[in-house]
Amino acid sequence: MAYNRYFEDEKMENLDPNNIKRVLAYLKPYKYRVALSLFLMAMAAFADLLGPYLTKIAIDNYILAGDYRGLTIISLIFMGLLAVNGFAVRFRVLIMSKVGHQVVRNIRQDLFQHIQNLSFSYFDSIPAGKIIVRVMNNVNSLQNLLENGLINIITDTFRFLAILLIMLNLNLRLTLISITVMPILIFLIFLLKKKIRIGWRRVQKKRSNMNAYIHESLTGMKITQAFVREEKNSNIFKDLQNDYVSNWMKTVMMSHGIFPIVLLINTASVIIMYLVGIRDLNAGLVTIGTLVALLQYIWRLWQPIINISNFYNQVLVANSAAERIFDVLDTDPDIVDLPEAKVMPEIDGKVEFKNVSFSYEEDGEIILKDMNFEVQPGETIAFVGATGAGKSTIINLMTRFYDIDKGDILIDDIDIQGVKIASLRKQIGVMMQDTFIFSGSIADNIRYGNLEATREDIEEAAKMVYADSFIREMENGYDTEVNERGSRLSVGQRQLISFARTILSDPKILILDEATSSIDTQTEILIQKATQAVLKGRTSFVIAHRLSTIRNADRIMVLEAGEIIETGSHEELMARQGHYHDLYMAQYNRVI
Amino acid sequence: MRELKKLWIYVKKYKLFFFGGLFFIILNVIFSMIPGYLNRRIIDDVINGQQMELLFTFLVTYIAANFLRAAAIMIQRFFTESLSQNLLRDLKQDLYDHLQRLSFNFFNNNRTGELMSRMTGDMEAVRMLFADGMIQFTRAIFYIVFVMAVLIPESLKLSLVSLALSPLIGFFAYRLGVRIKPIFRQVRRQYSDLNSTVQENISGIRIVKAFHQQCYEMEKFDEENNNYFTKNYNAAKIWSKYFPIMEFLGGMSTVLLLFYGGRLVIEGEITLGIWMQFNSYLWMLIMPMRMIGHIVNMFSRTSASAERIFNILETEPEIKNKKKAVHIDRVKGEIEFKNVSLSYGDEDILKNVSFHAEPGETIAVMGATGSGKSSLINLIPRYYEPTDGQVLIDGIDNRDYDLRDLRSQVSIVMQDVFLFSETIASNIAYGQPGLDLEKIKRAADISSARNFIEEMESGFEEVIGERGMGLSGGQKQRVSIARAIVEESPILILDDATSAVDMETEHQIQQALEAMDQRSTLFLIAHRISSVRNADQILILDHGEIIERGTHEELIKNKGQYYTMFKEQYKEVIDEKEIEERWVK
Ligand SMILES: Nc1ncnc2c1ncn2[C@@H]1O[C@H](COP(=O)(O)OP(=O)(O)OP(=O)(O)O)[C@@H](O)[C@H]1O
Ligand SMILES: Nc1ncnc2c1ncn2[C@@H]1O[C@H](COP(=O)(O)OP(=O)(O)OP(=O)(O)O)[C@@H](O)[C@H]1O
Ligand SMILES: [Mg+2]
Ligand SMILES: [Mg+2]
Repeated sequence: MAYNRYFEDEKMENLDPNNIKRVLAYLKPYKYRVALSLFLMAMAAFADLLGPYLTKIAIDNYILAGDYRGLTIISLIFMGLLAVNGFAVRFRVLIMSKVGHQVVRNIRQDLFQHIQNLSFSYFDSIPAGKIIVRVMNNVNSLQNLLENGLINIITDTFRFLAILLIMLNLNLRLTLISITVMPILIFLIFLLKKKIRIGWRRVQKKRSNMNAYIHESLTGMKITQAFVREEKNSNIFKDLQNDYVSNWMKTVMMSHGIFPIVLLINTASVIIMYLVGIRDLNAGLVTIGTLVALLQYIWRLWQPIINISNFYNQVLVANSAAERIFDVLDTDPDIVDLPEAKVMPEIDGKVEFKNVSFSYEEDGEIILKDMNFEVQPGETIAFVGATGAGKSTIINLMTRFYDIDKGDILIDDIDIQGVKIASLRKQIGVMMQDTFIFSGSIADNIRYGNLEATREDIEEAAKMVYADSFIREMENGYDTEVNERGSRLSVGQRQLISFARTILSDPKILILDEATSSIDTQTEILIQKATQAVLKGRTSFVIAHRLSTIRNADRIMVLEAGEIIETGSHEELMARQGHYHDLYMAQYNRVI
Repeated sequence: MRELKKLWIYVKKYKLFFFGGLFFIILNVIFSMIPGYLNRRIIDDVINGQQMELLFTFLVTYIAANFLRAAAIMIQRFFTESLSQNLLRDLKQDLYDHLQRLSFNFFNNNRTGELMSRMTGDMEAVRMLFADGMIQFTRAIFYIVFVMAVLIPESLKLSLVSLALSPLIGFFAYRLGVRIKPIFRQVRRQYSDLNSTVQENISGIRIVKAFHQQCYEMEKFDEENNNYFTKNYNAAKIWSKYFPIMEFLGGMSTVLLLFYGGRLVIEGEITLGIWMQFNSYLWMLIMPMRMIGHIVNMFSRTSASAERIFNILETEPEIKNKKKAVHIDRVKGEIEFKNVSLSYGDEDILKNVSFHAEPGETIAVMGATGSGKSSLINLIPRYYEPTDGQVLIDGIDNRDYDLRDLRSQVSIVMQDVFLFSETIASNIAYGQPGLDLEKIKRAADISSARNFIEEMESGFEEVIGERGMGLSGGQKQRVSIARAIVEESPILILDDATSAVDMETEHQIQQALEAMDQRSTLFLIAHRISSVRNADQILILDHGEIIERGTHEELIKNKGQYYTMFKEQYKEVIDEKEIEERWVK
């Protein structure tokens, strides 16, 4: 499997040039509110623009005329305008913040939901830290664009067009000549854009690398401290940071370059206006009044362009974030329901492997070779075999965590590829070899197997695996809060809790992968006795290295390098004097 | 504000960037005023006044000013970006290094996602302050100072009038700060909760899918996600209340000037010219007044985040070196527990445990789940400290040793295996980066890992996934055994290190360990009799107390708990009579 490591940049397979459009599509449900904001924005802009005009009237009509009353009135009008502006701003900010945060929330929700459905192989290959960064940081990067950027770009475009129109109206020739430099600007920005875009993409990757490293460092902190490796890690982190900072600086300086470019082009445009305007003035082609007006407007004309170029930078940043979001959203899960998938009927418990071959990666090492076996409803099957023989792999296939390469897996004679995954997994209870405890109360952790379970059910399940007594001894009993991965529990206790969780799910097929490997043998025997009742009547698979754990199984299958080499009950296998017998006797000989 | 003071320590290291940044921000402001001034002069003198000869000078100045401004902008950006990036890097590095010093308990009690959010989201808020906030702030201050310098000499009265509303603006800005800071704190806390939820979901995704609880997970997530939205919206609500007020008051300065200044002109106290000049500079006053809201907002946001960062930076490690720590190269490996007790809260985990191990001895620890075995051995390398009693290594209290030295003496295979997403070779050499491959291979030999590693496509250079993804349970354990063995430390601890390994392989590992020429003091936690029977001492723990101790033979003769365990584990192959004959006699 190609594992992506913290220092390797992610490859992105689903680069969609329409990222930003797809982000904007999320605004659709809020289009009326966006429109209202635009209206408010226009109102505010209008009130804002009217200010200088009012001042002019005040000077010309009242101050020079010495008219106190007029001055008072115009001041009051001015005040009124400011109030209007204030209200418009208030509601626009309110509406757009809400919309912006809502859209961000919705995108994050979609992303998270999609991630829930991705297959194991996806999570195998990408560090968790890199997935988290997409759900959290990258989605947040869209906030500003959604809240302010879009609205501002629209209003500034309008402002630009309005001023341009007035100018064209004033003097077509001068205006056109002075904006001839505009295409140069567009061309330069176009040139830069590509570089900046690639730059941000790289920055995002570096950030993601750093995040992955932080995440792994935090989760593996105990090992790091135990092996006194702090210094080395600190240096690795330093290198990652330097890599990030240097990429950031390169890109951010390029993007800061846009504003000076706009400024210089603006200078050219104004200079042209001066030169041509004054020549025209001397030639009598233009009146003083018009020229002065034009000169004042060209000033104003550039403000929206500067704003837009600023927001354009935001768009480029948002684009690199959006790319990463849609890259995940466009990743299809490997394991999906077929279109014609049926709901798995209530499972009776017959399980059949027919010529099953499997490897974790294409053309990779073949883990299971042509495996065949049949299990009758209600049977207890044990898998034994050396580590790495493929025991856990078998159960990964039964629950369709991975799809097989060849052959069929049938449950109750139904091919599991043809049924809805949810209906299948709901009926199979797996206790995986790696236990996982969620942060939260112990009761909640057990309840995870069946959300409808009552407190009594939970306690009963705990009693069955002899977890009840230690849970009660804790300060808040079943309501004791445990931390992530159950760090305040002993490893055996964690196993018992996830065992209880699996039992609580009351599955039709029960799979226990090393469920009691960290439990002392005496407790294990007690658990075995207690769970006998649960196992009765349902097909169950038990994987264990301790032969005492599996002795009572109806059938034991001995695995070696992905093949079943022996099958039979304990007695049969002992009588056969094969591999199992040897294993068993070796134990005996070793105690003597 | 207190946070800013703490940040200042980081800023100080980059004085050039900081003051250079300030300088060029101001330069930029000055250059930015020139074109407006020239424009007016051109209109007045050249166009209206027909002094054509001036045009050339004006235009050249105009071009020069804008070129200089463009340069100033780039330099200013370079300085502020350099400042913020360097400062952030240092801060992150300090936080990272500090986290590495914090004790195991800290990590037991804090969620990974929560810590991560401080390393990422909160850092971003600090960055914003120095990359953008600084520019805005300096500009605002400079404008006010500049405008006042120009206007006060012209007319004190008018200047005061145009500043009349600033105390009010200041008041609202203060109110905004006071009200929004707690909300930002909530936003940050919620962000870290959301981050934790996502982090935990992704770490546990296999369980989520196995129990098909995606819907439940979505619910949990939605709640946090929604809360995050609400908290952000709450901040926006406050912002949307204060920001327009400040905008309004800023605008009102214009009105005041218009009204009051107009009257003064009419009354002839000042000339229209002065009044016009005031008017043309007024935007420079209004701008900072409007800016103030943004700046306060940004400051509050940053200080809420900085609080969280410094919170961790100021958490003292529970376990750290004493003043005069003992440095040591290599201990002999003699270990003594003297009346050691350990409790978490009011729960007693270990009670009065005492034992003594000679260098090179093997001590096996057995006991029921939760009896305190792991807690016991965790005291040796001082991952935790005993509540009472002493742990002596070579006769010296382990709290007196330098922590790094002490931990270098101990190699451990922890009960829950953790491997890094790295090549197998670098996983094994985790404690000794760059170790030569031969040694790695030898360690892999001892832990019976070599065969399966070499069968893999790239052998020792094979990359594995996070937490050892891609290896079977037993394979992971064997790699982590190799990782401990390669250290050749005087003290080796195997905490249930072969629980996922089959008996044959376990036996091989055990034999290889025994055959090692370099004998460490070995602590062995195991549940199978076969693993512990050759130990020099076997300790049986029960609820934190040693209830039996001795060698295999002694304990069988003793007919206590160990004897019961033995009988149970071997009842199929060996009966009581045989045991009697073999060991009791
Ligand atoms: N996700 C994976 N990707 C690639 N290879 C894998 C993956 N999981 C397991 N393997 C490989 O498949 C083989 C079988 O692994 P499996 O986990 O089934 O062994 P197992 O019999 O359960 O062993 P153990 O007793 O140690 O748990 C091993 O060689 C392992 O390296
Ligand atoms: N950080 C902690 N805070 C509170 N209690 C703890 C903490 N760590 C362990 N405990 C408790 O201490 C007791 C002993 O735990 P320990 O891990 O030492 O058991 P153990 O003997 O190693 O068990 P196992 O065989 O299951 O690994 C358990 O009851 C556990 O719940
Ligand atoms: Mg396995
Ligand atoms: Mg333990």
